[in-house]
Parts: sequence; C-alpha cells; structure tokens
Amino acid sequence: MIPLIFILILFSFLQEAFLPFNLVLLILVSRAFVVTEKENYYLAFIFGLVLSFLAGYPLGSLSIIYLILVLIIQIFRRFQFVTHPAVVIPVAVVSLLADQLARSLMLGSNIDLSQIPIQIILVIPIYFVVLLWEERFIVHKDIKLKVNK
Amino acid sequence: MKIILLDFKLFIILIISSILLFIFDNFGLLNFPKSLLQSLTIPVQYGLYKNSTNFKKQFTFIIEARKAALENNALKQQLALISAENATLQKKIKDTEDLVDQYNKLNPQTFDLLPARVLGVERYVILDKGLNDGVKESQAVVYKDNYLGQTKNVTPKTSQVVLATDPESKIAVFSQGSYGRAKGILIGQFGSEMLMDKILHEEVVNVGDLVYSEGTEGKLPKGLVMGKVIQVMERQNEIFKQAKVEPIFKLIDLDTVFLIK
Repeated sequence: MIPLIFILILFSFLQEAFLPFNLVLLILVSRAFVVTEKENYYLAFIFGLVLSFLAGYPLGSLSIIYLILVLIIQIFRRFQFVTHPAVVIPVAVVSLLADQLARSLMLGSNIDLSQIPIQIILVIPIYFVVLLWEERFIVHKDIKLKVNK
Repeated sequence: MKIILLDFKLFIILIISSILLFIFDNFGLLNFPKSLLQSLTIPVQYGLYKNSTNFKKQFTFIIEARKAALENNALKQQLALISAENATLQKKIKDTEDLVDQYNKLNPQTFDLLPARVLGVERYVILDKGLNDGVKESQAVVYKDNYLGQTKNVTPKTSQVVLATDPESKIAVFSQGSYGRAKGILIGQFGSEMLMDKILHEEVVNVGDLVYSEGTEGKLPKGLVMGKVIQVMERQNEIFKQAKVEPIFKLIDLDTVFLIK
C-alpha cells in the first residue's frame, strides 16, 4: 500500500503542476475495479483531500466525488458480467465525465472533454499495472474456510 | 453481507467527514492548517511547474527549430524555382526586346526574319534553326541591321553560319563616309577582321567609315552594315587600295540572331 500511496502523491503533484490528465482518478478507478476493499475508500478520501488542497478547491469537495465513484464501482464490480478487463474503459469514461460534471456543479469549473480520449487510452495500461501489482506484489490474507463440526 | 455493510458504514463516515471539511473550509476554519501545509507544498509545486515550463520551452524550441528547418528548405526550393522562373522571364524579355529592336531596324514587311539561338561558336557558328524551320543555304544572318554571316550546311534542326570574318566569305560592299563613298569586296581574314579589297584609288575611304553590303549577292539585301574601317592601306604602285574592316558586333556576345528568309 505504501508504494501506491507514494505514487499517488507523486501523480497528484505532477497533475496539478503540468499534466493535463487525472491520473489519480484513473488509478483509483482501476484499483476499485481490480480489488474490492475498504482501502479504496480511504484512498479516495485522502487523495480527494490532497488534490483539493493542491488545486485550491475547497477541502473535501473532490473527496465526496471520488468516494461516490468508488462506491458505485465497487457495487458495480460485484456483478458477474463486469469481470472482463475491457469493462474498465466505459467505467473510466463514466467516472471521468462524472468527475467533470461534479466539478462544474460543485466548484463552477469549466467542463473540458478534450483530454478524455487520451485518458481512456491511458486507463488500459494503468489498469493492467494495478492488476499486476495487486495480484503479484501484494500479500493478501489466506482464505479460511469455515468447517462445520 | 456483513463486509458490505461495514464498508458502507466506512463510506458514510468518510462522506460525512468530507462534507464537514467542505463546510469548514468554506467558512475559512481550515485556513491556518492549510497555510501551514502550503508553506511545504508550494515550493514543490512551484519547482515542478518551473521545470515543466522549462521542459516545454525546450521541447517547443526543438519542434520550432525542426519546423523552421523544414520551412527553410521549402523556402530555398521556392526561391530556386522563382530564380529559375525569373531567369526564364528575363531571357524571354531579352528575346522580345531583341525581336522588337530587330523589327525596328529591318522592316518586317520587307524582310521575313526568323529568330535563332546560337548553339556554339567554332570556325562556323551553329544555330538552332534548320531545314524544319525553313532555313536554306546562303541566307543572311543579321543582328539589328548588321550582317554577321550566311548559312551553310543546313541540317533539319541546325544550321552552320559562315561569318563575314571567315576567309570563305567574299561580299561586294561599299563604304560610306562624310567625304565620299568607295566600292570594294569584303574578304574575311582569320581572326576578327575583314579586308576590303579592290578599292579604286580615286574613291575615298577613311578610318571610321561604315561598310555596307552592296546587295549584288542573291539573298543578301543591300544596306546591311558589314563593319567599320579601322585602317586604310594605300600604295601608289598598286591599282587598288585596301582597308581593314572590323565588325561592329561579335557573334560570341549575342544570344539571339535573325535569319533573313
């Protein structure tokens, strides 16, 4: 989790300095799509705060948006038909559009759809990197089966 | 189900926290901790922004330089084309001027003139007009009203010109000056001079007199300028006197000449 937090902090600074992509949101969406854990809420909350702080938005504004998006993705993820990796693309599109819309409604910023196609392309490698990371480098708890005695 | 409910509880807690933070921040209650944090983050943000700006500038410079190089090449090509076009136009203007000049000197109603380009100068001059253009042998080649030579060995596309300075050339001429006039035969000499021979002693010829064609040869009209007398050679014991004549135009300096049909 620590490397992921470090990467998210780095990306937060980079995207607020010069990158025109919402890499943090793409990573949060990808992770919520890969693993259904409560850590996703913590990450959404913390990095919503970090981005609001760095971008000069009111604190908590982006956290609300990211938390709602993560919740929807986690609920959506429980359905069997969304297991295919390609589903992450429409999920990312909807998330990016919802983020833009919520920002414009809550914070009054302009909707900029010009970068969305590039971000849709970016979400695919991001998804596979997150998947590889979570499956190969993160130690999960053993599954204990309950045995009725 | 228990896990979902637990997660949802966490979600609600975090959402409420976010809303509270949002409200507090809107009322300015978080300004102090924010300013403390900003004193740490602003230098980092500024450094990143400055570096990204410099990087963008460098990148833009490379792209602009590449674009400028391409544009430079295109402009060079365009300039070369324009220069070539200009040269062609200049050539055409010169040809047209020559033609107009020629027609002003020799009346086109009297003389049917055919412009020709000089292809090479050896003993005989080669012109780019031949049988296909209606050129025949022994046609006079002129520039303005000056005689240059006459055609010989005409091929379908080229023709040779025997210059007036060639020893083969013998033309009946007369000189005309302010003191009088003299008749003679103009014979070419190897080099750039001609000799006006068979001038009677009683006829007057002086240095500077212009020499004209007599027009007794078939296709050569009368009155073409053959050259200028540069020296008169007179001996008492000889029947005739002679004069050295120099052509006014050198064919090597000319691009376009005219054939009298």
